[in-house]
Amino acid sequence: MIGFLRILLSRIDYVVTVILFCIGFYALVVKSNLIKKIIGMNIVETSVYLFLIASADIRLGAATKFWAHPNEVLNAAEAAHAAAGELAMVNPIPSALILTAIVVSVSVTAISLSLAVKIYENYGTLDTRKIMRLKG
Amino acid sequence: MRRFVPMVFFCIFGIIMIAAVMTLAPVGDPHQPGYSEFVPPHISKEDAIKKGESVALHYNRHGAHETGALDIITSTIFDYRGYDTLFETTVLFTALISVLSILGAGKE
Amino acid sequence: MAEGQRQAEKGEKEPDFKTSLVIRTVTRLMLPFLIMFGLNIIVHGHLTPGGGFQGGVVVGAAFILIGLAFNKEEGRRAAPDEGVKVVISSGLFIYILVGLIGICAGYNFLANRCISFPPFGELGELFGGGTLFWINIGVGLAVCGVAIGLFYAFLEEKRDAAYYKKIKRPDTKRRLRDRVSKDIAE
Repeated sequence: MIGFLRILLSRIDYVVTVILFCIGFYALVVKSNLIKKIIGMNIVETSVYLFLIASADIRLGAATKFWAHPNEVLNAAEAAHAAAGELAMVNPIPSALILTAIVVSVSVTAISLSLAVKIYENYGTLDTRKIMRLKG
Repeated sequence: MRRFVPMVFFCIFGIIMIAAVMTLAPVGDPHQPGYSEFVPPHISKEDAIKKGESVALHYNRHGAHETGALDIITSTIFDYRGYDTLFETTVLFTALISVLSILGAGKE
Repeated sequence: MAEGQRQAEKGEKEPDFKTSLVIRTVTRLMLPFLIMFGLNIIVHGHLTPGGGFQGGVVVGAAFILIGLAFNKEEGRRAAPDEGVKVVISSGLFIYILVGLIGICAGYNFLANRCISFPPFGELGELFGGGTLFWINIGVGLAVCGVAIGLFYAFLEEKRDAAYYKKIKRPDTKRRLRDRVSKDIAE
């Protein structure tokens, strides 16, 4: 049991990610209000960002910056790495990918919100069940 | 009932995903495959090191000198993946155009 | 929307909404600093954390703040529609132009550092990044324009009375009521 808890705690970021993903997916599936669906979609996206950022982390890693003078490091962790001969920096690729993902998510949110506005103009409601009933 | 069934489904879904997440390397492990030299099982460690380093380590070690940017993330986004970022900006542009045409703003 | 629509159908004008004096004064004070901070992030994108995307959003937020703190017309005067479109297009144009310079110099598209693009400094200086400096500015312009454009596109959604009279809206409320009452009767 204690071993399991230790494994769980060492991957607590991923566990939080999964919980966030489930909350967002629940809102996406169950809620009938379109705005709430869009919010759920954003929560799912946020959980994916958190997952990738957590996977990029490295213990006592420095920020992804070029250290021209490794002796002028800022905190104790970086000083320890500098003393060891090399600065361990976190993985820069997930951060770059997430910047892309955030931009795409903004675009998707904007388009879905504008579609929601149009649906409200045409049907007078945002409730998907009512919209289905009106169409059928 | 309408809330209860999806709730149970997502609890099971979450437990399965947490079980899957448990098999990953712990957070902050410097030897995780995304960061350190990735060695497939049929290549010995020495061969892999001789061949080169992982992409992340290459960016961190040589990114500043190859691109001239002190910030490694900027060098990754705008130089190594510059083509990607160009079309990312195009995505933003297209999103604005589609929002304007859906809402019909700027007309009448 | 129902309220606004009813007003629009009657042809009444919206009552003038004024934010409080504190918000307007603080906005007037903060505005130059916000824009300068955003420009700082954009220009030093390759030296410090941040870059075109982040700085562009900060500059865009400054212009959005005008629309929020004063009113729509004031914000539109600060960021007119044509100006926003020109800014976005010029941002993308700068990006592609910088890429084409690499081709003209005989290298790949978006080649960096191998072309001695006009002022070329040492590592760590402002112009030490080669094309990165110009690409950051282009992306910053594009993102700033998109942020402003999206905000005002949603803000100007509410139409005047003529628009609502022209479109034929299905009487959804009545249809829905009939449908629901039929369901209940069944």
